[in-house]
Amino acid sequence: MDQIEKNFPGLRIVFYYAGWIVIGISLLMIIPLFTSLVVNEINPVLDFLISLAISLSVGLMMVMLGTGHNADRVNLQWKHGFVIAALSWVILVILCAIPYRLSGHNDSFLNACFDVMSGFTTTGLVLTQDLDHISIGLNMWRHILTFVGGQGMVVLALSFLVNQMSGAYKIYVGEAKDIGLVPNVKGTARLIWKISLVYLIIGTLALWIDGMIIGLNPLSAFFNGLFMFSSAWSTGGFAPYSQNIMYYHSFSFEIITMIFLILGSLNFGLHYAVWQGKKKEIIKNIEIQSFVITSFVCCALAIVALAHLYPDSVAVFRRIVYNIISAHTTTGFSNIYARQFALQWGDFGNIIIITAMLIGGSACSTAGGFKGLRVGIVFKSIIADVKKLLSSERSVKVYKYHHIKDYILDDNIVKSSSIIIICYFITFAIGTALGTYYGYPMTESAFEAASVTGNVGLSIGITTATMPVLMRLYYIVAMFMGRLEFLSVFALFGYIVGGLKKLCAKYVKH
Amino acid sequence: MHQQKNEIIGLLSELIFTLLYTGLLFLLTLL
Repeated sequence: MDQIEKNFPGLRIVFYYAGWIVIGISLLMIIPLFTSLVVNEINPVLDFLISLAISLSVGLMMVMLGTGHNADRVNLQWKHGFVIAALSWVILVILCAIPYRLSGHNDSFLNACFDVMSGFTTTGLVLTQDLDHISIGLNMWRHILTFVGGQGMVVLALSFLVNQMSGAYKIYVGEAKDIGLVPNVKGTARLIWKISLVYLIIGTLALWIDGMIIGLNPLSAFFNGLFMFSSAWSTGGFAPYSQNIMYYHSFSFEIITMIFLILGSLNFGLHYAVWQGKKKEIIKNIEIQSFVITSFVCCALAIVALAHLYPDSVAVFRRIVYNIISAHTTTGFSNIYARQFALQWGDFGNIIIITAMLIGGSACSTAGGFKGLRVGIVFKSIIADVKKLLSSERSVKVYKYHHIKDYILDDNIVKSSSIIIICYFITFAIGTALGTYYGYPMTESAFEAASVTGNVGLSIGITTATMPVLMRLYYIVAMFMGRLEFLSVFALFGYIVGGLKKLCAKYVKH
Repeated sequence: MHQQKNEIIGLLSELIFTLLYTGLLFLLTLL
């Protein structure tokens, strides 16, 4: 271990924290295990027992490797925080895929990993076969993954497990949640969970009651309500049936999920501020303004272009507005068939939905995309630049934007926002190019690439269990990068490459 | 007590905001 640490400085700290995060998330397997026991499913119980044993052993081993004599946990550096966040994601994706593979519904481990990454990043694309006949236990596991992934796995692990809080903030930021609701990370993490759990209760209740009204039996309505809520709130897009939300054929079900998916795409900082009594924040916040404007424009354009496809305004609302909002909040619930996007909506409809998917929800929420905050900042900076150009050369004006409190629009903020938007576009462009390389039409490749990069989960029919391996791999990476907003993934990559370089240099010297 | 009251009011105002926005989008389709 000491020898290895010479090449990879800080490896012990990385292992120690990542190990705890792995243990924390592995313990969640107890929930589907018990669910399976209660509903009398024997095989899934065994699947989860095996997976739990493997995951806990891996986690414990990492913690043990990390607790060395020179483990300096107090001085956790930024790079370590980022590497811990990214590494624990990679390890967890592999471990959490074990029950998927054991269930027999995935014909390769890669497909199982794809589904887990899709859950963790709240994307919602599915490769699992015969979704309508999977066990309640595995369904529970899929929706727990998406619920936990939305709030952030690091957030969960930090709020309950790790007591030494010195470096926790740096891991927390590594998971692209950079807002401090209260001064300490543990408090912030717990508040995020409090907000989510309050909505979990309200949302599940609402969908449970509605499920019974539309004719499901009480037990099934409860599970459907719970699963659909966790997907909606996490802007995930998983559903217990292969027909997604279309299965329910219910306007009321769609309205309730629409409300929760919009709420889920809002910033946790905003929720907290409003719950603290700052009600005006709902109107003043730059993210809300940005979301309302962009989603309204997208909906209006789509309605103008596509309204002729549907018989009446209720149908237009359910098929067009619902799907656009689902795309914009990066949820991915869809109540039309995947091929209808390609065959009915046409190029213009697809361009609108691709734009909505790329913009996405709010920063520090459960949503993906390059986030309304950044769109707002870049847009305001363009206006500020034009104003500066037009005003007298001697006047100095300060431009501000409001997000929980007033911020000055300085070049650094604009720069970091633009860099992330550019990174999203590059990932999107490579995904599109890869799709066209394998012979898919341009618009369809772009649609699917936007869907994975923005962690949306709408599909135009490209994502199937038989698509090329390279595309499956790229989609996994794109979902991962989009969710962690690039920096952590680059940090992990740099860390590994840096270590390997040192190793090679030594080898050459010898 | 005061804190809990604030939280409930905040929760309700968020719910009302999303309901209103959904209603607005519905109105848009009616037009």
